[in-house]
Amino acid sequence: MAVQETRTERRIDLRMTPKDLINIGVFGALYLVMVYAITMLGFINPAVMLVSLVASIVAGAIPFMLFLTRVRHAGMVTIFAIVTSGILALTGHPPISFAITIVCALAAEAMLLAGGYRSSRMSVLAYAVYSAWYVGPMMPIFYARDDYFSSPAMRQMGPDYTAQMEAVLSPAVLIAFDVSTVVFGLLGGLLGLRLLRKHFRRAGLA
Amino acid sequence: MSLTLGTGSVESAPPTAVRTRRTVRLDPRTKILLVLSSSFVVMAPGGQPFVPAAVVLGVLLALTERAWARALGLPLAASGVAAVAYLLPVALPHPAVGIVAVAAAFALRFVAVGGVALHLVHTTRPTELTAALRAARVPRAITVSGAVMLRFLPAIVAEARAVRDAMRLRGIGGWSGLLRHPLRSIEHFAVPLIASTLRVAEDLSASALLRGLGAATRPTTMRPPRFGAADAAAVLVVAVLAAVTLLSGAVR
Repeated sequence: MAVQETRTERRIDLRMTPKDLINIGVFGALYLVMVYAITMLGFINPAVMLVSLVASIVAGAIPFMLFLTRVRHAGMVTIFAIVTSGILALTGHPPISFAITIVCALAAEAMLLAGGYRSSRMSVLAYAVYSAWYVGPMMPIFYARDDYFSSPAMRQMGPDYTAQMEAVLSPAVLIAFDVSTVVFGLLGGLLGLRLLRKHFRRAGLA
Repeated sequence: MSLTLGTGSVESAPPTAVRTRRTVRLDPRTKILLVLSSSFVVMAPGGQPFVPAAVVLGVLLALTERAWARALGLPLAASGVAAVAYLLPVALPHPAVGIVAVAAAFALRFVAVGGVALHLVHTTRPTELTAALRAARVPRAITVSGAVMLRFLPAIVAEARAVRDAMRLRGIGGWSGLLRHPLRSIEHFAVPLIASTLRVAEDLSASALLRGLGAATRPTTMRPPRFGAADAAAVLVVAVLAAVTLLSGAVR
C-alpha cells in the first residue's frame, strides 16, 4: 500500500532527473529530424507535398511513442514541446505555433496521466492529440487572409475571385485540416506501437 | 564521432575565429530577440506591411557577417515569392493559380522571418545559445534538454544521411518509394535511424552525466554573453525600420 502511494506521488512530481532531461533532448532531436526529413522530401516534388506532410505526422509517431515509454511522470511531454517548438520558433515559425504546441502537450499530458503513464492505448491517443500542433505553422494563412485580399493587386481581381479564395480559406477547411492531423496522428500512434513491439522491445530499447 | 557533449560550460577555441575576425558580433540574446520580435510582428494579422522591413533587417544582418550570397539572395527570393503571390493571379486569374498565390503570400512571411533567423543559426554555436538562455533566466530543465537536443541534431542528421544512402543502394528510397509503400518506407527509414541514435545516446549521456550535466550548481561560462555597442546599434536599426514602415502609410 505504501509503495503504491509513493508511486502516485512521483507521477505528478515535476522534478526532472538529468536522465529525464537527456531523454527529452535525444527524442526531441529525433522527432525533429524525422518530421523535417520527411517534410523536406515533399519540397523536392510538389506532387508529394501533401503525402509527405501526412507521412511526417505518421513518422513522427515512432520517436514520440518510444519517448513515451520512458516518461514516468508529469511535465516531460511539456518540456519536450517547449524545446522542440522553441527551436522551430527560433528558426521562423509563427509564435502562435509555439502556444498551440504547448496546449497540445498539456492535453497529451492529461491523457498520459489518465493512463497512469503505462497504458499503450492512452499513449496512442496522446500522440494523436499532440500532432494537432501541425495546424500551428499554417495559422497565418487563415487569420491573416484579410491582409492579402485587401492588397492593391487583389482588389483588381474582382469580388468573384476573392469570394472563391475566401471559401478555400474558410474556418471549416481549417477545422477539417486539424481533424485530419489528429486522425493521421492516431494512425501514426498505432504504427509506432506496432514498431515498438516488432523492433524496439526485442532490441531492448523500449 | 567524438564522444563529447558540450553543456555550454566549457568552450574550446572557436573554429570560426578567423572567419569572424572583422565582423560585428551581436549578443545571442539580441539575435534571439530580433528573430522573435520580427516573427511576432510579421506573422501577426496585419503584419504583411512589415515584410520589407524584415527583409532589410535580414540583409543588414547578412552583411554584418559577410554572407554576401544571402545578402543578395534574400531580397531576390522575397521579390520572387511576392511576384507569385501578387502579380501571377492578375496575369492568370484561375482558382488553381489562386491557391498557389495564397500559399506564396504565406511563404513570403516565412522568407522574411527566415532571413533574420538564418543569421541566428549561422552565427551562434549551440554552447553560446545555451549560455545566452541561461543568462536570460530560462529554467534549467529547458536549457539542459535544449543543449542535449542541439548536441544531438548534427549526429542524427549524419545518421539519417547514412540510412538514406543505404536505402538508395537497395533501391527503396526517395519520394517514389514513399508514394508506393508509405508505411514500409517510413519503417525502413525510422527503425535503423532510431536504433543507431539510441546506441550513441547511451555513451554520450553517460559521459555527460559524469561531467556534471544537470547538476544543481550554475555552470560558469568561458565567454559570458555581454551586451555591447553592436546591440545598441541593432536596436536603433530596428526602431528606424519600424518607424519608416509605420510612417510610410502602409499600415492601416
